[in-house]
Amino acid sequence: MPAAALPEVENKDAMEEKIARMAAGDKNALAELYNEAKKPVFGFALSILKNTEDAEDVLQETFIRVWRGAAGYVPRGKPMAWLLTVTRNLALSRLRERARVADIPEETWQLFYVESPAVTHEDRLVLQAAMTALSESERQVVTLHALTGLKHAEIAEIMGLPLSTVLSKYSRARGKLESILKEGSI
Amino acid sequence: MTEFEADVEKRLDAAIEHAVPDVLPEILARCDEETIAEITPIYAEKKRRPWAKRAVSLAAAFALVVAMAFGFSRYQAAYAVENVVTLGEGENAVELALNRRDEVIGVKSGAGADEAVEGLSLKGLGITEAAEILAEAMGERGMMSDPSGVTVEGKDGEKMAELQALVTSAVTEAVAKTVENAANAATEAVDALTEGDVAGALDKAGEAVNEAIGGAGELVGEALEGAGEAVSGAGDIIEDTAAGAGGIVSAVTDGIGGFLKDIGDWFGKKE
Repeated sequence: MPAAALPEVENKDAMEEKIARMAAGDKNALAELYNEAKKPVFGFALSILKNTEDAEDVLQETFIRVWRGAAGYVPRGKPMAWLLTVTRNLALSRLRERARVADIPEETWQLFYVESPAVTHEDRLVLQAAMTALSESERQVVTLHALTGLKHAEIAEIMGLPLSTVLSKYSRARGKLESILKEGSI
Repeated sequence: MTEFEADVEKRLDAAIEHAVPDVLPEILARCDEETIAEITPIYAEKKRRPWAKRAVSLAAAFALVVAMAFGFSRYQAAYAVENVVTLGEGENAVELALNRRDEVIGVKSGAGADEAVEGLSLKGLGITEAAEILAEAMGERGMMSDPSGVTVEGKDGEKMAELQALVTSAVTEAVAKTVENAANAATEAVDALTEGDVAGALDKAGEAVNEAIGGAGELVGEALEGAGEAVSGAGDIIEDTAAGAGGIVSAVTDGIGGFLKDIGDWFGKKE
């Protein structure tokens, strides 16, 4: 079981109930859903974009889209998977925009955790290792598994990859992180 | 999941958790903006809607009231009883119920007047025409020889007086017509009598009697007298006819006897 599993997030019925309330225009439901899902959404966006500002934009945009689309939401699987699919599409869209404009220096995304006093040194190391040493897809698999509590099969579905690929990427990412953290090379 | 994996994921989760910016106010503000943007035109329409709805409701209510008033008025004019005109008295009375347009919408007769009313189609006729027909029919049966037997009931005194005058006039005319018919019939009976037309005289006398019985009260005696004379004249004629016939029979008998005698004489001479 993932260490950072989120019981609330895993509660499919509760999330669907919130989405239904949002469809009826209930902003409290939106706030509740935001508080439950902001971390996986932001983390996943960050894992794709490697930029806190862009991830923040995507976080915001994701919940706006969910608010707009709540009325048309059709329960097919976990609501969190739907939320993360929206996040991924927005993040990839942002990536394409960024490619058209200019690359943002990698240092930009590093600022946020340096400035956060609540994050321990070890936490920062893990995050930094994940952001620098892992490939894009490996980073996404690890982040999703750590933050959402989703199973590999569900992650595979969100990312549009075969389960075996996701499993191998996860395994490879674990090896890289283990190596980096043991060596303390960051 | 290995211990290492769990630890890495826990640290990653902790790092992200503290890094997540709070953008909920911005999200809610944007939702509000979108909601307002979406709702504004609806509000704009809604501003007009209550007014329009109210106007439509009022117009519909007004139209309904007008339609109901019109319908009620039409109903009142056509079917509601406004006045009742009665011809005759007691069991011989006939009541004509009139609507606002003075048309007969109902006929009610006493036991004695059923025969007079039977076969008459008075409903839908104007009161003048109906009163004339009815008075004539009643007059023929001796139920109406006096225009004073007309009464009118209603709510409007002026209208009642108008109807009273109208019906009385119509009845007077009808009674006069009946009297005239009786007088004519009596005259024809007398004429027939003087011409020796016994059967015709009897018919005319009968008609005169009938007409006289009908309504010409003051002519009744005269008509009866004329009829009596006609009958008497007819008796005389019959008597004369019988006498003439006797003479003829006698002459024929005599003729036959002479004829037989001549035949006898002829045979006697031959032998």
